[in-house]
Amino acid sequence: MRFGGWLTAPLLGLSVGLVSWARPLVAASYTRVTSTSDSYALPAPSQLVVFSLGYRSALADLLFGRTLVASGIHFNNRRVFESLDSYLDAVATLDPLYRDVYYYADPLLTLSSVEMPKRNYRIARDFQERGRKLFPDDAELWMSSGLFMAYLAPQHLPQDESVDEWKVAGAHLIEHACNVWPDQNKLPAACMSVATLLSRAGEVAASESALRRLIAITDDPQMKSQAIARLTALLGAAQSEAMRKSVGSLGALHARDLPLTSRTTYQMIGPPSEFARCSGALFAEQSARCATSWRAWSELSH
Amino acid sequence: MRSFSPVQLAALVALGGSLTAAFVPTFFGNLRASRLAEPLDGLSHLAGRATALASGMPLALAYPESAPRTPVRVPAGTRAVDPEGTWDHPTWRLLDFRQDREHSFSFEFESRADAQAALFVARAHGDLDGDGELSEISISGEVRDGKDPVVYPLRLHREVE
Repeated sequence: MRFGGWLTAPLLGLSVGLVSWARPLVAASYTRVTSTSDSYALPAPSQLVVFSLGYRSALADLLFGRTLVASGIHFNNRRVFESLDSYLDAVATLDPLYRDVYYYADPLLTLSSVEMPKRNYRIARDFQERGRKLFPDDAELWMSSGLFMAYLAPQHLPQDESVDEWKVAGAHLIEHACNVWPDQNKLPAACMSVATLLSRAGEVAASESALRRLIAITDDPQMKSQAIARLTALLGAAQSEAMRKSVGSLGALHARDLPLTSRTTYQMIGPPSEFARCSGALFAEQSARCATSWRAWSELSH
Repeated sequence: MRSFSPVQLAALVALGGSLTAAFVPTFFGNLRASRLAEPLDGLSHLAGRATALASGMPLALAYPESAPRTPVRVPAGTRAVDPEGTWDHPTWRLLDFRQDREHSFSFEFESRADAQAALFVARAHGDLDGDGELSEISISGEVRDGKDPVVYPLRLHREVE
């Protein structure tokens, strides 16, 4: 007992001494390793689905929160988060309807306190594409994706990417976002830029179509007049005058017929038809008043 | 009821104190780090919308007019919900930008133009640890006569907490 007591004290002292000596060395190398390199510490996404034991959304939520934290720490430390795309991929595989992964993909992958790898632009685009397939009517997602491809990414792309292709693809995404935008009274000003992007890329017909579509869907008088002015610059006064007349007569009809509906709703309902005048094969009028579609109304009224 | 001896209590307090000292700062550090998605998303939004506006416009009208820091008082160590009308400045409306939910950062938009070029700088100011020292993250872009607008990389002017 006495011998044991004598032995314990030096052993304890030696242990404390060894730990005190080794700890700073180990801590220094650990800090160096963790602050200069990343490793993806999870199994492959397909295996992760099995590991989740059915709690896929919960695990995706947890993982996305952890990814945001890690991304913020890398931002503060001015380091590239090398395995960020793997974590985002894991979240998207676990819960494909986790919208935030697709929405935040481009700022997380391309904006940081240090220059991010150029390949991240393609990865962000691919993530957004996955999201757009799952959320075809999410105007905000389509708009942010379009702006990223048309304006934010092009000057940073690697050499093997076609800048023009990115811009044109971005323009089409913005156009779709404007088409499905929930409030046609407040379309984003970016909708007006689609025509410019397309005409600069040489797609004059697509640019004209984008402007015509914008004129047709917007309820904002200022945006409508700007779009008509751009159409005039693109096509010349004669052709745009026909468009202006068509828009004017449609506006007048809308104001007379169902003024409390939005223009978009009115255009979905269709033109007013006077059935008493238009029924019967022999005496039916062949005029705009009997048109049952906007195409027929347009042809008969001009 | 079993009572603890003084040594047991001391060990318990030491252990609890050590764990608290290690985990609480890490937790709050992580919480602050997770909030950096907000300025990144906001600045990306502002840069994208401003650049889209500048496309095809004359230099003098390329970017919207400057908008002051909004909200003026940067939320200090907390998240804030803005009162009605905070984001009614014409520039925020034109850029389709507002913070409807709780947020930690204030945003500012500055623009100027001359005969050769127009430029903008969008800034996010934050005080995540509430010490009164503001961090600043910014993104800028410019358009030169006859050329496509460009956006420059993000800049961190002061260390984020």
